[in-house]
Amino acid sequence: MLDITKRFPGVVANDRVSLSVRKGEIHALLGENGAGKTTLMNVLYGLYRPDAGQIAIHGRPVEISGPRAAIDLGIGMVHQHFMLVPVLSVAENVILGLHGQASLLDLAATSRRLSKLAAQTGLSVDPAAKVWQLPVGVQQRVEILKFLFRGADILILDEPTAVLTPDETARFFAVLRQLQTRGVTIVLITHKLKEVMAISDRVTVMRGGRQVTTLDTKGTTPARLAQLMVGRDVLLEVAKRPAMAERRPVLAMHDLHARNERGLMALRGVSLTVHSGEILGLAGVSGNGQEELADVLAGVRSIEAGALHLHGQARPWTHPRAVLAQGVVQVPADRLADGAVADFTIAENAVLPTHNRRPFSRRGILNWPRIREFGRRLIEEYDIRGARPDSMAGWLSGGNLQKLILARQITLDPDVLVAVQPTRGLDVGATEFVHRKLIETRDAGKAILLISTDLDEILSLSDRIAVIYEGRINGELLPPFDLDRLGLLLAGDEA
Amino acid sequence: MLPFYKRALTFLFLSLALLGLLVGCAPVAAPPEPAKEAPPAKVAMLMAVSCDDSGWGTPGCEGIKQAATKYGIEYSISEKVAIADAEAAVRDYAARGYNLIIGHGFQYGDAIGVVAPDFPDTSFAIYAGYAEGQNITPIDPKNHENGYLAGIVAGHLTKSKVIGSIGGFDIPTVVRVLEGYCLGAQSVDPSIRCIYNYPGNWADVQKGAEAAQAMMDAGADVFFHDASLTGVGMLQAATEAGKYGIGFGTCQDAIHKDLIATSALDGIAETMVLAVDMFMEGKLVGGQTLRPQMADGIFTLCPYSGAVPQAAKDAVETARQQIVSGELVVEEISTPSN
Amino acid sequence: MDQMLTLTFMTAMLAAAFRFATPILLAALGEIFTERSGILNLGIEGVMLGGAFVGFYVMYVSGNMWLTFLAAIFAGLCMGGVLGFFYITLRANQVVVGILFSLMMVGLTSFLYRLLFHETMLGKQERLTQLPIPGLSQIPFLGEILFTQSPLTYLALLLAPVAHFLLYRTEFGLSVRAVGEHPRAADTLGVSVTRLRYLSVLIGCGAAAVGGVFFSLHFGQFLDEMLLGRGYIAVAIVIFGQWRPGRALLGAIIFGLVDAFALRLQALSITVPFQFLLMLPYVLTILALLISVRFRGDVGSPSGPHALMAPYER
Repeated sequence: MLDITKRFPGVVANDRVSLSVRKGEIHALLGENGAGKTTLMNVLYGLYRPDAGQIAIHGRPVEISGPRAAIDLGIGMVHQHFMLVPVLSVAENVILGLHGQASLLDLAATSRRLSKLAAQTGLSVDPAAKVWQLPVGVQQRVEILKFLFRGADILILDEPTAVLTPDETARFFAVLRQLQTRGVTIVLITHKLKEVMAISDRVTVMRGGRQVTTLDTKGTTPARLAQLMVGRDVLLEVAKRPAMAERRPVLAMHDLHARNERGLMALRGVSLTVHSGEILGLAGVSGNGQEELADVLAGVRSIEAGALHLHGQARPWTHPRAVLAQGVVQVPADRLADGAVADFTIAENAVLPTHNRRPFSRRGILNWPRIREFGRRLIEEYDIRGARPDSMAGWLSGGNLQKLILARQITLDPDVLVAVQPTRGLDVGATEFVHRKLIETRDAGKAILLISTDLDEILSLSDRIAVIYEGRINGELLPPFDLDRLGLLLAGDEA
Repeated sequence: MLPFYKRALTFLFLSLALLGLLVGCAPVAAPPEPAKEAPPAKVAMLMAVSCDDSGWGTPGCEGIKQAATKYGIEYSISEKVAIADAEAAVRDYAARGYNLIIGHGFQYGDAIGVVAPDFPDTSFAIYAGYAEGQNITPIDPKNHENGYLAGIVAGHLTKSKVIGSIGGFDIPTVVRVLEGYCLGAQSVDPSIRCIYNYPGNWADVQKGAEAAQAMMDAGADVFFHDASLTGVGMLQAATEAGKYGIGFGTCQDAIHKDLIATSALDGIAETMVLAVDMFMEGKLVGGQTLRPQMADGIFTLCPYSGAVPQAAKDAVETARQQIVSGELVVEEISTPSN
Repeated sequence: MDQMLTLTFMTAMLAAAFRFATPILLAALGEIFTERSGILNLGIEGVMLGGAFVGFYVMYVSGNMWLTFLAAIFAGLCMGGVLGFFYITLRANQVVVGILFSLMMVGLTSFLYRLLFHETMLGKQERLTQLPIPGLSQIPFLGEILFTQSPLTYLALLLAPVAHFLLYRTEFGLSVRAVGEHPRAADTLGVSVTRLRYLSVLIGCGAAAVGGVFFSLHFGQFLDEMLLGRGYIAVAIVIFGQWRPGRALLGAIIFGLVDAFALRLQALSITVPFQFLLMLPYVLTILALLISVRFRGDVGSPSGPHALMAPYER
């Protein structure tokens, strides 16, 4: 691929990117979220038409007009979100689009060929099973089989390990190596340095829509790659001053009980106090009541028993708007479902909680210039890349969307900021940014409750750590943190 | 977000669609042919159907056009006026200086009742409907008298002694026609059984045809209707199976020249002319129900087909004279008898 | 009541049910393809009306039934092209476009009718009659129910298994289903979402127009309000049938049976309020929906294919 350029409204996703992949190698395409990796591969697969540039396969220049043309050239692409029709069977998903529209379906023969192919490649799967019944790991096999069945010899895999457990990942890599021995060329899109080092022969690093460099994996180190990826030395330790000496209790939870979706008691007496000027890290293995606690604090889940005190006074906690008005603000875990409206513009998202107030509206009439101006301010102050006030929030990459949500919530000037999994799925640069902002907010004297399952994050940010286990606070730690004790608490041992 | 041209095209389509609607519902208006002088009066009619329905609307439009020609007056007809729009339409006509406004159908009673007091110098009439007011004339034809005559024909034609009929809706003005028809048939032979069907619309030819089939299966061999196009469907299916039919509203012998014995004209056109006549002569009195009847000469039967025996023709003629003279009063039954 | 239990009564009623079912089944079978591809075509009522009108006019001019039949299909395809352009190319709101199209056709056909016809159309046209199939029509009971019917009824009954075969046994059908469930997945395998959706809309509109020409051919009459929502009932039957041809056939027959039964009850002097009957197809549909929530069929959600009404954009 030579000098590929692809523009979207308001964004240059690929700027004169060149990529050369050798036959039979595993080539990693490394970059932060929004660096343009997936766009580049979508161009190669014919889903996007490049605005400029050339593509050559086996030395021959080609015009890839659509996925059909790409498939005919032996290219297959497994997307991060699987392109499988859930209600159809495995065999039907494989045969889809294979012959002309006029041909009859021969599912029996397809199933036989598929089983044989699966056995040869170690990608075993039941051809008659409906896709929606299969676990994601198996669905991924179906995706790969789909293209091997079509005789693909170039496979593009977009973040394939995002849905896999470490164990599944190891097995998956073994399959990739086996495919490599069969002469299949593999392009692996990822932002995980460990994976690049583990499996790739060569690696191309992308940043901000441009190609930075291409290296032999053997001749490089993770630190070097990380530096290339973010364009500066990564802050491995979060630089922060010690928490303020003078702290006042702000938000106090007393013996909270709440039920989960299935009606089971998920919180069984959570008592916790968050002070001004500190980050309280709530650690825990996921599924121990963190989601329910976050919902309760946001005012979207009712309390069965217990009380919430703010600045020492008991407060009703029944309505999200009231909670917001009391100065308790949340950065939710699910950015697209709870944090933003994908089909709204950035400016609209920026005023979601405040649109009904001055200066954004008067007597129910929205003041658009003010709203856009506010959107532009957030974009600048929080370095939201590739965005204008009028671009759709759904077009932002995960990291930039999180920046937008963080910007909006911090600008509300809350007394308490509840951050839930604030860096899940974010790349190194965005993670660092979010961490820095949280610490700045703490230093401004706010109380921060950090709910995270990422221990590194908890350890590097928290001034105090509480551990939640089966809906109760199992113990608290003060710095310097005792990692052994933390491990015991996480596992449920009483302190 | 769609590109501009796509939004523009969508907008264009919506506009065209609305235009199509408007064209379909536009008033049929015609100025008098030689418009030398200002017309002596302006007449307007509103109805829920169109002038092409060969049942209710067609004779209504005919009548207005005839009267307009007769007096050289200006007229306007609004077709497919929904009940929700009725009041606005009536008010609009009144405000534009129409002197006589006729609601062709019971559904316009309420609208006229509301608007009429605001225009005391305008005359209003409601065909087959009712509203109270000093300047409102409800028109309620004694159409069961004509149903009775059709029934006499049927009574002479039936062999199975079962006769069928359908009415668009089971509303009084329709029910009494069908019940009058039954009485007429039973005047020939009291053992004749009448079966009815009210399909709930005026335009479902298929349901009409199937109603004929169902009634044939139940033994009926002569069919009559007051159901516009639904009735046409019934007559087509009946005559196709070799059964007799009696048309309604217009002479429907075109369906089958032998088996359609005759058709009962309910005199809608004549009634409209009558109403305009009375208005022009200053005889249209508000607050009093106008009941056109046999004696006014508005109800007739179409020419008989060859299938009708002389005895039937004679019996019809006798009954007509008796009704006109008042010697025979046809019972007015307004609720379905089964 | 005794009369209702006789075989003659039952036979006649079933035969009538098939006649009632015919136009609705034709439209519903087509709509299954349209909806399976992800497009809700509420313009189907307008397309049926258009088919009925064009059929009426061509029959009037030519007097040839075959020509009438073909002209209606052609008209259906043209209307399908227009609707498809709005649904697929312009990605307009399908409900708005569909309903407006249906309303527009009422205005357009009544306008054209007045332009083209100036006299009463009673008895002007030759009408299609039942075509008993030699031999088969002699079978007791079944012969009258199934083999003494209109050619269009045979066509509709034949099309049900054909539709099933197309949908489940051909690559075309698989692609249609995939496009309606997960258009992007189909797209990434080189299946043209746009092309398949156009084809599906054309199939749907062609079939609906045949459903409309049933009225011109059988009754030789036209009125802009003569269909009385049969197109929408076809949509309801598609839902009732859970987007499967076989079950839609069943739904159409049940619907026809209800109508036929009601007419016969009245002929026996047992009155059923017509309002109740108008309500029934929708009640049945709601019941079917309630049941379908519990049994996952082969569409992505109880309310239809997963991408139904979702325009596709790369």
